[in-house]
Amino acid sequence: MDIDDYVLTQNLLKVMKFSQITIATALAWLPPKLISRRTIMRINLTTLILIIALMQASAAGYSQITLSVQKVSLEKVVTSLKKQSGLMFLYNEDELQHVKISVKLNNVPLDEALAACFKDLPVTYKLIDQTVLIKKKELSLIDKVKTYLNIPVDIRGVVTDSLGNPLAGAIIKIKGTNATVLTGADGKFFMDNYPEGSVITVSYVGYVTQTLTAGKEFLNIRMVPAVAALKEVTVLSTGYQVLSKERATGSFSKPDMDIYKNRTGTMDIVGRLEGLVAGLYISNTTNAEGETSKTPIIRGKSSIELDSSPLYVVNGVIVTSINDLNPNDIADITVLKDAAAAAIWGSRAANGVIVITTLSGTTNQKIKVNYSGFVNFGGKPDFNYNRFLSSKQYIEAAKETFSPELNRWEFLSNSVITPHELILYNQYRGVVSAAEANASLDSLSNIDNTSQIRDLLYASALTTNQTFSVSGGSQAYSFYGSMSYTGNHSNLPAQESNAYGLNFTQTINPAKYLRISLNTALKTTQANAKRAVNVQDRFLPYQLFQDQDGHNISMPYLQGWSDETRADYQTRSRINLDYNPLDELNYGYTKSNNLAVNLTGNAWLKLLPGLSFHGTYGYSKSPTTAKSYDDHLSYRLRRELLGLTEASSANVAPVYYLPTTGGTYSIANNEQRNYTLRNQLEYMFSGRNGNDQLNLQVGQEANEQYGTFNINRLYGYNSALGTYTQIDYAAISTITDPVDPEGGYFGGGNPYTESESKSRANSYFALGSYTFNRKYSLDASWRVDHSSLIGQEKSTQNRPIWSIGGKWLAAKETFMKNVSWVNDLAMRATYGITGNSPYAGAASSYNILGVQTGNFGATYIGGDALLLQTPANRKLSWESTETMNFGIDFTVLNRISGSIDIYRKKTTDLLGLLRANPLTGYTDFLSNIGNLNNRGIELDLRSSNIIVRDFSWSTGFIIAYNKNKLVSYTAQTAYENTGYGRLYSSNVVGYSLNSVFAYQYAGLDNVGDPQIRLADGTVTKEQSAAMATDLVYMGSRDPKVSGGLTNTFKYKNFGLSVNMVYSLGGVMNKEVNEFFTGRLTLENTGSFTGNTSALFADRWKSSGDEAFTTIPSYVADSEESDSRRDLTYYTHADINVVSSSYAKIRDLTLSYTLSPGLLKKLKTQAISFNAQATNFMVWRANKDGLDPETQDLSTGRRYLPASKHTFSLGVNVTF
Amino acid sequence: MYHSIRLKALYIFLFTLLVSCKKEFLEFVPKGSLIATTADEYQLLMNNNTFYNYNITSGWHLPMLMGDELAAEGRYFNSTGSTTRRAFRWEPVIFDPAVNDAALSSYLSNIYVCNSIINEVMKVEGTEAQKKSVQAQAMATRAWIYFQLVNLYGKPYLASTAAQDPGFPIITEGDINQKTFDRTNVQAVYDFIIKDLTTAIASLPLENGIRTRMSKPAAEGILGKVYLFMGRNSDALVQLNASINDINRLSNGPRLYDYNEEFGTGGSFLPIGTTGPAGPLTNVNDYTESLVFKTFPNYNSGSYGNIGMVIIPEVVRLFDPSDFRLKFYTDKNPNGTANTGGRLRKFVRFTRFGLELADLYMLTAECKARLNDLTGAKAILEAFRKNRMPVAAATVPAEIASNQIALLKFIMDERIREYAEEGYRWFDMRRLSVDPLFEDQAFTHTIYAIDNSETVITMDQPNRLVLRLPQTIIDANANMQNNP
Repeated sequence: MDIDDYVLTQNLLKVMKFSQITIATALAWLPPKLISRRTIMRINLTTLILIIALMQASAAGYSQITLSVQKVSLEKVVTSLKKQSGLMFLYNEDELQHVKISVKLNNVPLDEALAACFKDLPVTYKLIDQTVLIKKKELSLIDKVKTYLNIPVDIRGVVTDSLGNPLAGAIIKIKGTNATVLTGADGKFFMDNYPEGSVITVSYVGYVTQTLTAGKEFLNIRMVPAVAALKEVTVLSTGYQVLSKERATGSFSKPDMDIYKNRTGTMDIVGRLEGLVAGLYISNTTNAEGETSKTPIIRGKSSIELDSSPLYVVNGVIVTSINDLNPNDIADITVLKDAAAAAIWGSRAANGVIVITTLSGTTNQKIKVNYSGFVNFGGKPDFNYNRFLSSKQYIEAAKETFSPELNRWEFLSNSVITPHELILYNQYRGVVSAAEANASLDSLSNIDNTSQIRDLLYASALTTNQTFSVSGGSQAYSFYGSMSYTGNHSNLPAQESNAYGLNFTQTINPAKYLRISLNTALKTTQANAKRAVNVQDRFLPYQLFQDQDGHNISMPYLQGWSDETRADYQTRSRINLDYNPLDELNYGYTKSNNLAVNLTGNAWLKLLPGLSFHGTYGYSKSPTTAKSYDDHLSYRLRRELLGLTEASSANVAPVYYLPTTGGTYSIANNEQRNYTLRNQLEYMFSGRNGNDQLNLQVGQEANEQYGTFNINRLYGYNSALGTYTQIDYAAISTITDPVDPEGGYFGGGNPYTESESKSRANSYFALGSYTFNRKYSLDASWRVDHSSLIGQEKSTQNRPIWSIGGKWLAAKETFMKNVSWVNDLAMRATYGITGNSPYAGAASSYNILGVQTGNFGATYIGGDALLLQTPANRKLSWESTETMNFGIDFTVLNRISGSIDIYRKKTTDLLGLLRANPLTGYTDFLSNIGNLNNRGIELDLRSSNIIVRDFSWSTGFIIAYNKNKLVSYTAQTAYENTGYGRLYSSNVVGYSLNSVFAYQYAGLDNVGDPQIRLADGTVTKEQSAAMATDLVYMGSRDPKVSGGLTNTFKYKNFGLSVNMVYSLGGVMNKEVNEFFTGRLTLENTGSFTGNTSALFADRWKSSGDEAFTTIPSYVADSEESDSRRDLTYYTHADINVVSSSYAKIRDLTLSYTLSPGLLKKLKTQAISFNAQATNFMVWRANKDGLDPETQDLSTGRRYLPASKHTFSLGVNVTF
Repeated sequence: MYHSIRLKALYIFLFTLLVSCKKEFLEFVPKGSLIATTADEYQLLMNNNTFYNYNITSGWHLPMLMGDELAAEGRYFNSTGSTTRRAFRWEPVIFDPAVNDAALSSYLSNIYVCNSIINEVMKVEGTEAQKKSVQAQAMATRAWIYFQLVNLYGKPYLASTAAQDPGFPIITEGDINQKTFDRTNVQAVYDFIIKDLTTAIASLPLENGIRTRMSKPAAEGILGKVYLFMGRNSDALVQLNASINDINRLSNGPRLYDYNEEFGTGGSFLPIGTTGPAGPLTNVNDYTESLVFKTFPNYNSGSYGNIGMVIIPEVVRLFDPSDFRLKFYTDKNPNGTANTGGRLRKFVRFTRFGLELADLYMLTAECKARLNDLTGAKAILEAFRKNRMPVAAATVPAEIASNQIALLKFIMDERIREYAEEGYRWFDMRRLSVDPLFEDQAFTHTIYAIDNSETVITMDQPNRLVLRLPQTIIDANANMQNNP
């Protein structure tokens, strides 16, 4: 691609991405007499409707024109003119189809050439800056108006665009007459003396023609853009090149950037693309800590061992993270899905590529200032979602399951004894009477701690973002700069972050043959967090955190030990062992500070006509410092000290091996440094008036990713004085009889630790594309990557990655010209190889040794030592994915456009842990062991359903089907043929990844034990009875079908957009009872657990219950329970696997745009407001009220949703 | 214009190509990682603590559980892990199908490292002597490991059948890609061990700094033990004597603790705390008595270790009341309550199982007794015993000292007195089972319930004296025959 071509497309990209923009001149084609040259036409470019046939803008002044044609279409003449002049031409293709022209010109100036071409033709043209606007000549008709003088009514009105800006030059016709008038600069028109009730039509290029009846009243005519009627010029960026969508053979997708911009619910760029790109599935998950995450997967997983995330490319450079980008600075996103699109990214492109271009200034653009801001209210977790035992049910269950003979009091000295158990044991041991015990239990069963958890342990999540941007440009220089602030409060108290960003992009054209662009982005993030305890809804339902007087409650039992044991330790060590969760908040903090610096430079140098040099240089550096302090008052430090204190009795002075004052302070430094250097030669040739178009590139790229980490720890740190205590590490390592026998080590670890990671790659690549007669395109790419996997044999690296693709623009064939309902039709086919590289250091032909250190960096008694870190592994290569893609792009009925893609991906050399022969000394090692296939089909449809006066409705619909199958993967072992082996293996050959297998449930027997049906029909409850073949395949946890449905409505100044996402065809384990035996207590010492699913109440209780329930009985004796039955027969039964399909309204946005009149008073160009709400479940396939997004798909546990809905408010102002 | 720019650009382009083509660009070893290139670095690899600090489930954890000097307290034993329970019950299958035996895994990864050193060290920088020393340490270590393996997975050595009895695969290359292995036979494994040790002894230093490392006397002692286990008593005695002689030449060699002193006033084993006397059994780093120091944590911890293990009353009766070793026992349960049956458990936290001086003394005594040098046997045994009890009690009674069989049995009992609950007994049970002098011993294990009722398990001999190979190994080697 040529420099200038690039400039224009880049500029256009930017233009298109502003929601409202003023272009003073370039697009205004206006009748010369009616308006002045300064007339400003405002159009909404996000729904860009002009047909823009664009080629080259001139950088070298207007050329001389030579042209000789006989009776060819004007379109062809224009193409030739474009080519020779380098100008941009705007015209309506339909209007120019029938215009034929004959002209002979030899080296004449442009003006003359234009005049000669359009002389005597029913078209007119206008040259504004670098754009020639061509339109059907209709001016002379105005005179005809005067012939109709004797009509009684004067018709008058104003024509505006959808935003209320006056449209000059709109054509008003009166039906049944030849009367036509054009609107003036103010959009107004007058037609005097026509019959009342005359039907008039109002038309304007790019807008839907409106028909209405005229009367005496003043008409306010608001035109609606004809969205699909006109071709949108879409420019695609692969990161290596920018090409027009029309010529691209690969499978590229672009999201609707309007919806992207409005998704203020998240600052996660990829999360904002959900449901907008066919084949890009965003998996939403919640973990046990209530944290939600979004994982993008393009066209199914093509790896098991390696990360399935796409490769991110920002401004042409691979980045390791896009978290530092401000979502508001992004101009354009292109998703590369097949090999022809992605292969140029080589051995890292198998997961697809997301190419992001940030905003930059436009040449010849007035200074424009924009402000946008939003505030998003995330609220608190949704405590109404889960189904646990209520306090009353809980105490009831506790009484029913209390078995003091089995769980003997005297053995519980080191265990957690919850308050309800203590009461029951006290009663059992005769410490309290039955009446007293019951009274205590009753009082517990009347307490519900949910509101305390919600109020005391959570805060309302809040995110705010403000962005100021300025852009502008002249012929030689353009810029875009933005300043942004993002504030974030998590839903845990005292956890917040503030981020400040600066982004500055400038483009300089110092000479005709040179263009330089430079993007500088800085972002600094400060995050502060105190030690909030994370209490989910699974905690003992009666345990309050504050008493009636507002005092924080201590609950030391949570950390294990009976009261007696604790008292003993406390007395001997003289360390307070209370545990007060609410107090912990202020006993420590982590403060981190990150500065991300990103520089990307591009230089284009014209060498010869058609040939240019293009260099891309990216450097990024992201140092983070995290300071963390935990006071000696914190429970963790007290406990650590207890384990390092010797005190054989209360009478001796304790010996402390750690400081008893101050706190533990650590300073961690983490820095990531990446660079990319790319040099390429680009050649562009156009022959036969553009009927031959050839584009070649060849180049070399080198990149490095380098990360360092180190951490210093100080003990007994006094933050006021900055002093700390010297620790005797040698003494600590010999401590033999600590007060806490389970202690004796310390969690702090080494005083200093550092690590480093580095990976490099060197690549050579070539790209080529050829388009013949504007109808047939051919693309090819080739690349070879060498990476720095240490010591790896080179033979496994010399594996070229390549692609080839073809496209047929069928709509341009003559036989399609008469098929009027088809506006556009093209077919594509591509084939190629992409790779997925193992992580750095994954393989080596030598044994890799590391330094062996003991605790605190001390050496073991054997002296200084090395350890064998990684055994030699000489036969590793990257995963290779072969992709075949067929696609059709179409526009029909002027309203519906879309594309269909069918693909097949075959991944070979799938990396995985090959089970080593254990006799080698290793259990497994990374190897290329399998094959995986993905198949799929994607449909992307956009339609303008209704476009009438004041109202429009458009729809976007995407649907993607993907199915994968693991063809082969390591050798089967005897274990994998057992029922358990099958149950716990999610990657089974012959099935999809993340397969779910389950037992065929055969109900409960007469003692409430679960039974299964084997393949041969036998019903059994015997343990280990099932082999792999006795389990049934339930489906995959990964949905087969995913997509989105977006509906956008506009009425006058209001807009409403409803974005739905859906996921179909996956399965998940549903919530099951998990409490079958033993004590009703915490799951783990120190965890805020203890409650259990409300399903426990529905379990088998007495003989005959098996007719009503599928939930096994509770058997107090765990030995008995473990020996007589297998509870996984129930927890992993087929009846407990359900569909995870669902559809949700991900977000709903209402917007309001200020009317032009008001804007004029406010002296601004545009102001809009929007309000958004998120996450409304529309439909789910399961009957249990489970939300698959907050479900542990494997265990079936319901996790606490971080919020029910989030709400946000935003404003956008352009000055 | 084009001309000059073109030239400049091409220069830039070609230059960057040249720079980036440099080989070093892609070949670097990241910080914290190393490819060994000197004998020093191989010595450091040999110093690795995985050669001497084994984990709680590895080392001699299983042999400890399988010794017949032990019984189990049901209240604790029943809460232990399935592996522990199965081993104590002498069940045929101890590990679940997909579970690797931790001890075997650590031995195998040690063998990988030894093989790498043996095969590579002679090619790198360093003096010939240094390289040979490192190689010899790796060989002797490999031999020691093979001696463990053949005594766990091969039948007890019988010269008449050893060439047919399935052994343990002999692995001499470090290659994670190797697919199949052959079990060979017990004789071949012993031959391999003897060859390694013999080669190593020639190059090993007499003293090698810290005794986590192999030295000449250690290798000689191990070779003597190997020969004794094979019934080659005279060969054994040569090596055992050589070992003792070499130890005597050392300025800072292993020495026996004299319990008369250590438990005397101000003795180093005092005071006796809740975890027992100080000294090697509680101090992981004490290698005073070790020729080559290897240890594993042998205490109760959650569901593994020696939780629930007690010594049987018969063993208690083997001790002279004045024997200081009784101080290593307690009749208290782990939670401090009294054992209702009055049974004793051992205060042990760390067991040494490399080669210990006490073992060397007793092996030498045994060897001499077997060669009918009863006086020599008595002398060396008493030299040892006087360090464990008052001298008055240390004398071997005359009626025993004069009868070969009685003396041998006394020596075997001495081994139990010294090493109960530490795994040594298992290896003795094996070799005695094929020793005509000790024929027809039945091995039983008792589990005491809370009410002191007993469950008695009798070992299925001879099969259960040989461990089955874990299923993971059988799965990986289709043609490999498992033990019955």
